[in-house]
Amino acid sequence: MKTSVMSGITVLSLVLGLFQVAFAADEATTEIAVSVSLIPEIKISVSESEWTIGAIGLNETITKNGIVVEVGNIETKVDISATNGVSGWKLGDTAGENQFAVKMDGEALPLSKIMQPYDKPTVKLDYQSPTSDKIGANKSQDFKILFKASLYTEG
Amino acid sequence: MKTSKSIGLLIIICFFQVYLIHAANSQSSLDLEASDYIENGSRTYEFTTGLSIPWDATHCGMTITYKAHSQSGTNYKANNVYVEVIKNDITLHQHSDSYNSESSFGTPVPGYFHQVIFQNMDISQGDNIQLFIRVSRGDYKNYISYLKVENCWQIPDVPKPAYDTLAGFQLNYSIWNNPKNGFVEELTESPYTPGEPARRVIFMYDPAPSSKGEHTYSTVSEGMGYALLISYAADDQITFDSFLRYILSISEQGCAALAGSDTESCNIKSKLMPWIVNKEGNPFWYCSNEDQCNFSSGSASDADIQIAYALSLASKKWPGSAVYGQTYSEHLKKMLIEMDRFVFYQSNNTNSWLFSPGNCWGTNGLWVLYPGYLTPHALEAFSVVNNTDSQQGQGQMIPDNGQVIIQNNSPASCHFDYVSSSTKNIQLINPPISDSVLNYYDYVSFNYQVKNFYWAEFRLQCTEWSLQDNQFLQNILGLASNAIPGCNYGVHWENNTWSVFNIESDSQLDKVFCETLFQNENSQNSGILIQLNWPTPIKPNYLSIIHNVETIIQEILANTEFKLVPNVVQLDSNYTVGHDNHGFIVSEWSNQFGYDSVRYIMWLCAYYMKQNIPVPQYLKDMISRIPVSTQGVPVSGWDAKTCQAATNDFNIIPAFIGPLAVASKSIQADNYSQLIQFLNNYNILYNRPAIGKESGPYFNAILYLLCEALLVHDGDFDPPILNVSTGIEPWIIGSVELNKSIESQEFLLTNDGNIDADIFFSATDGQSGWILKDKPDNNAFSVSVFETEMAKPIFLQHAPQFFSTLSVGERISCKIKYSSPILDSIGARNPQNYTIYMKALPHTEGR
Repeated sequence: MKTSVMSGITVLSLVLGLFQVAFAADEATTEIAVSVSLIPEIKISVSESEWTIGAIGLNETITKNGIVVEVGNIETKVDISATNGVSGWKLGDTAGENQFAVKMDGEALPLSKIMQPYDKPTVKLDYQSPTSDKIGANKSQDFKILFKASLYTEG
Repeated sequence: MKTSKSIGLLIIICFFQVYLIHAANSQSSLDLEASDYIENGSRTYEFTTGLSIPWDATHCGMTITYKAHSQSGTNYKANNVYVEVIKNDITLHQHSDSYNSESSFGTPVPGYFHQVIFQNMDISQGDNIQLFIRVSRGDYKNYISYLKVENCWQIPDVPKPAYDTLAGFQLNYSIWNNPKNGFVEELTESPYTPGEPARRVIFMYDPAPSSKGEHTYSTVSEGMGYALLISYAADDQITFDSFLRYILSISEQGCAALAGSDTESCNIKSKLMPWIVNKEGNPFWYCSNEDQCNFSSGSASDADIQIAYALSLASKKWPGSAVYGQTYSEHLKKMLIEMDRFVFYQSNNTNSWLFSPGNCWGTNGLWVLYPGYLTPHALEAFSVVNNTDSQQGQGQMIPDNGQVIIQNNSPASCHFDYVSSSTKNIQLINPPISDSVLNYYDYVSFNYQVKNFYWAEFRLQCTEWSLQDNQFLQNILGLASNAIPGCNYGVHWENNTWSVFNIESDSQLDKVFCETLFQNENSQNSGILIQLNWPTPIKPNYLSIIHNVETIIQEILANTEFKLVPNVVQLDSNYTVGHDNHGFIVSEWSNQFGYDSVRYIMWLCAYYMKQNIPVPQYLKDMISRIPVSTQGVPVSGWDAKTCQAATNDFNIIPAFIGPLAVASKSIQADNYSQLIQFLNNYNILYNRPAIGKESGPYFNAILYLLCEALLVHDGDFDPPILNVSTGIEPWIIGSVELNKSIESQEFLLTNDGNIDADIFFSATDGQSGWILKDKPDNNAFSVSVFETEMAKPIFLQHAPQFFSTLSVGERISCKIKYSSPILDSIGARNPQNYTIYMKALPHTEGR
């Protein structure tokens, strides 16, 4: 990039019908535009890796507070979902027969959240056990809650 | 009786030798022819302003016109008319004028008509003004026959920028360059420049002294050289080209183009502009005194050098432009080739390179030095021009001599019938005499000197007598047994090239013989080989001329009576006064420190100022010896030996004060502001050329502008140009990790301007919240710039940080280092673009 700048004053005078122009060079400036941004880092971390509920009766709700979810340095779409129970209970929006529900801050899974860079909210999880059961007790109904982070693309 | 055209009514009352002029209108005039003559005496006239005319001017102009006569028995020069305007016993203005009388033997002569314009006088309504006029110095009956006063007119009070400012220069230039003001003339119908305007500087109004008629409105090449430089400094290419067109056209009227007796006084036939031409653009017989007239077609080297320098400047500033189909650079090369032949030479005793003032001066232009012609700027510029080429004889100092070798390659002896030149264009030095014999394969050589560098010719004829006895060759050539073939050769110089041709002969016999031999398959075996040896082209050592001339001046100041630079220096062993070793008469003027030699300090001091080099001590010492008083300077300068005023008349003369101001600035002398004040008070608008034999207004104005340009541009004619390139495209770092450092590619920082530059860098914050700091931090980045070869960087801040000083043309290799923040809380999607600013300022010491 080559810049030659003659800045200065222009003096116009009309003297006896004569026209004059004066220039003075006193400064030359050039710019270097630098394009830079931080490398995007898509990540998600959850403060809890295990949630042990143990034996639970029907139509009960167990709450887990203080779960911290943290995303990376870019706006992130976080999909939160849960698996079915390992012995036949199904995940549903609400509790039902052989159907349990998991809610995060009151919203049933699965759900999606748009999180801003470096968002680090503390969330609450509610587990609602089925209202009735046809499978029987002493069978593990373990499930997994999945947090999936992806680059949020608007639109 | 001379009748005035004035409307004014004149009442002349004799009152103790004081004549009262009652001003009745805007003009008052007094016709003395019917009443009294002033004969070798003086008289005072008195008039009152404003009795019946408006007179509220604060800047007053007054024109006084008179006609002076001398009924002399012989030609007599230096008759004098002195005019003084007086108010309340105080002299407001004065003017002294000399004129030459003509031998009339009692018959009234036409008279010398002159008009004086007094400017800027403090005359108000109701003032009593006395006009004192004196006629003197004539030998017999000098008298004034006509006197007219055109009294005061209002001159607008124009706010005038200071002299040593660019605005001041531009204003003065615009006044000077307006043809209405009489300094220049626009030529739209010049016969030499059909279709394109030309412009010339008017040197004199009244007839230049000439032995063949009057030549009014002449132009000197010196003025044209200045005009080019001034218009260049004003960045006015249109005007520059107009001046150049005139110069190029007039140069065609130089010595080389003219034939006949008029050119006999032109010692060298150059194509450089004649030093003075008349209104029609033709040289004429100029008479420096009654007995010495020279045809003015010779050039003056100060003009030649400065014209060429202006071409050099223009070739860089406007490289693509052409005048008459050739670029400035091409014109420059052609001109330098001419100047190498006719201006620059090596002294015969020291081999030092010097310059001639022009062949009309000194001994054919040699062995005399005009110090004021030294223009170091130009010599420096010439030193880098490639003005030699493959053409024989170009670019050398003395191309007028060479050697002719004639070799007889025929198998027979050659008898020279003649080797001669019928013209004065070439001189053959000891050529073979008639009937001398050149035997088989023998050769003869002799020297020649060319007098006309554009056309010369000599001829030779040899006859092969020996063929009479050579039956074998006779048979080959088909010659009769008693045939004596001869061959005529012409040796022709034109357009920088020698050629040898075989002159057609009516004699079939000769023709057969010459063509047979001349057309031999190998020219080396031609019948007669004519070989012309030209000296190896030598390019003058232009730069050494500066040193050589300064050395001469220092020797003069150290070893002779001279305390100031004289106008003319004789290049003999003693810088002789009176007659030099070559018989050249040294005039009183030669020994003065005058308008000519004051340019020596002007050019040199400007050159040192431009180079930012301290002015040598000898020059400083000399400048300190120049006595400038509050009256200004003596109109004829100072005696260079005594430092006494050469005349008793003092005036503020810009052609002197201007050069002194340039010198004063270069050495930062105390009197600079005083000199500038002098120049501020001078107004070329009020000092336009008037009718009369005066070159003063022309010369004052043009030197006034020239010095102003030099002062404004620190010793040169280019405006200071800051031009520093970074050579770096926008730097795309892209995505960066935290706490990382990245270096840019190397880039070149180059000073392409014409002044030294101080370089500063600064940078902005990031676009989306990262801030610039000395070192990386949370959401904070740093940027540093460093020379590749240097370890120590500068860390950029918002305020410009000094980085380095780049001299003109200097380039340094640099890199930029970027360090990203240690931590970020803003996010990656947000661009953190920022801008680095490189700022150049004129270099200042101690930055």
